[in-house]
Amino acid sequence: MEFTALFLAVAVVMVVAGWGTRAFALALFSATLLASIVTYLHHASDVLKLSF
Amino acid sequence: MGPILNVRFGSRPSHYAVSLLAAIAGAAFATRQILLHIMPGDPGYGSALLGYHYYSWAFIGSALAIIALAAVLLFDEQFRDDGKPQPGGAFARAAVWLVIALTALNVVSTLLECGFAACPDNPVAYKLLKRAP
Repeated sequence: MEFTALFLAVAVVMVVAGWGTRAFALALFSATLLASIVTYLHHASDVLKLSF
Repeated sequence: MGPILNVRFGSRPSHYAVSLLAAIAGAAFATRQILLHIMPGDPGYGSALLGYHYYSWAFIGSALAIIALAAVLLFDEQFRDDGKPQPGGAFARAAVWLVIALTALNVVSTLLECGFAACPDNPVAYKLLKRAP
């Protein structure tokens, strides 16, 4: 679910960059980048449960 | 997003900074995935394309983007303020729409794959497309 939300946020950022104000686009980008990094750090120490 | 801002507002160092930050984050995320499968004998996750898995290609693409952005930033002339920025042409507009459409498709595919819960460790089917028994 969080990945869907992140992709949606990135799509919204690009739409705002194309048609909205520059300052708002940069602010949204900062928030989305921060959310991506937080998600990455949250999963960074996950144990790999796959076996082949 | 950096190229979209360039198309709309003209070249600015801050637009390239946005692209650099995104590329660095992408390289870091891909590196973590590569390190998960670094042990000798590990076949890697998913299918390979031209000998490399998708996360390896993600790292290569991000690293190349960082190098290309650094090369572009060497040319100061592009940042000279000479009035109103030229609006992007039809080709640039089409490229912007294409990238937004691809991202929107990723929204749909991850939603179908993971549903409204956390994504499974090894997704082999689209959760929302499975019929109830």
